[in-house]
Amino acid sequence: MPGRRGGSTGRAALAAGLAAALLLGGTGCAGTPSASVSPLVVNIADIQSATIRVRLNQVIRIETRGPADRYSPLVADERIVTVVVRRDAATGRFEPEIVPHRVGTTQVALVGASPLETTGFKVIVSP
Amino acid sequence: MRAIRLSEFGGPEKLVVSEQPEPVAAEGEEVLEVLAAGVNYADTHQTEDSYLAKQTLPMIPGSEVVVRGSDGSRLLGFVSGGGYAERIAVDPKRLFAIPDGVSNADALATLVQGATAWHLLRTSAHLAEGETVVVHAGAGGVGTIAIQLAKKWGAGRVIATASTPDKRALALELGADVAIDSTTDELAAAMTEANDGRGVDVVLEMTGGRVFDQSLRALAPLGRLAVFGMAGRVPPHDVAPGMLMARSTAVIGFWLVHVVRRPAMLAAAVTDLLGMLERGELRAVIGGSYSLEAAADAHRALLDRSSTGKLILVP
Repeated sequence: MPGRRGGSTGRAALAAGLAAALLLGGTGCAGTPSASVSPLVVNIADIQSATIRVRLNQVIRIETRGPADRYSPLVADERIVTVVVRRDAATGRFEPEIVPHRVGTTQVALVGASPLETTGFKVIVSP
Repeated sequence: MRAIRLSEFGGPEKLVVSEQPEPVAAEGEEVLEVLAAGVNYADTHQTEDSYLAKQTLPMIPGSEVVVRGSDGSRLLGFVSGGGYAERIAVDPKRLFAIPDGVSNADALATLVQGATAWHLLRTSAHLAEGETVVVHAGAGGVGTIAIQLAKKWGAGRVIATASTPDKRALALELGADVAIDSTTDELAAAMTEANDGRGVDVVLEMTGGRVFDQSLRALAPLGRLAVFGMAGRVPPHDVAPGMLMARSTAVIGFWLVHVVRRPAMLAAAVTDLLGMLERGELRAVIGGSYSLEAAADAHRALLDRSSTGKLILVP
């Protein structure tokens, strides 16, 4: 469901989240950014080694539940997506958005205080 | 399919191409075309069964591959052997997507060599800005990347060692501030002299024997010696804990297997390195591209220390 929290950290939640990603990916207007497409919201606990599919006109919002200075975003190909550092106004927590720029597949990693605390995943951007 | 399959351990002469059955995909795996496979020093140990981990026969060597995904994308990753072949059964979810602007060979340099260099500096040695770093085998696969990362991450001085003038020139070209002859008898003195007479803060060491011993002597107080190989096959002298305490120095072992077992740690390094390559901020030095039939030559080039940078096989 658009904008809904990712929920628990189990495999079922991950599967549901990724299924939602696929479903949400089908709702956008191809190639044209639109404010009407809700962000795809995922929890950082659910996306380790996952593949997230997103449409070109949709952003991925990642709930980290952590302070902003704890994560450094890394993107293998910034022509495909970039990470916008976004702080939740209410909680002050770091909730980065992944913004698609073109169709393709790339690796993204959010590195925590140490490399041990990294979350790495693939993002596939479709038209 | 064509593959190199060993039925007995031994040196490069055992790397012979033969016709082998197609791989069989387990649950979650797909049989994918191998576009390129990395050749690593560890492979030379595995084929002669002198590696840290016990090997079993029969064996198709090759632990890092670039494969063609079922959707046509190029994917990069570690495999538990089987890379020296035309096809391999692998779980695509465990692989990394390669940016369009990064070649197969350059991408392969981010795995064994790149992830090792990245984690040696960040996770093992905890490199701090302004520190002096010694990179042994500065023209090798790990060394060529470690030099660039150390400079990028703020090392005050990078001292590379290498055995030939050409290799030292390459290390300087990649950003080393000083390149010294690794064959000199007084290596510890050469390292401190290259640091204006002071001990050095970080040493990345993979040769063993006297290079390890002299590197330990060259450390400054609070210095760290990160050990990630023993290419010379000669062990160093035992390390006395009391001596470490007296000089506030550390010896840190590093085996990439422990990073590979933590996918997040591997993802951090590989994603960062692929991004650097894609943006032109990192240069992968490719020392040679070999056919499967010439795999023995690739191993010989590693064993006789004549190679520089990353070696790959293209099946």
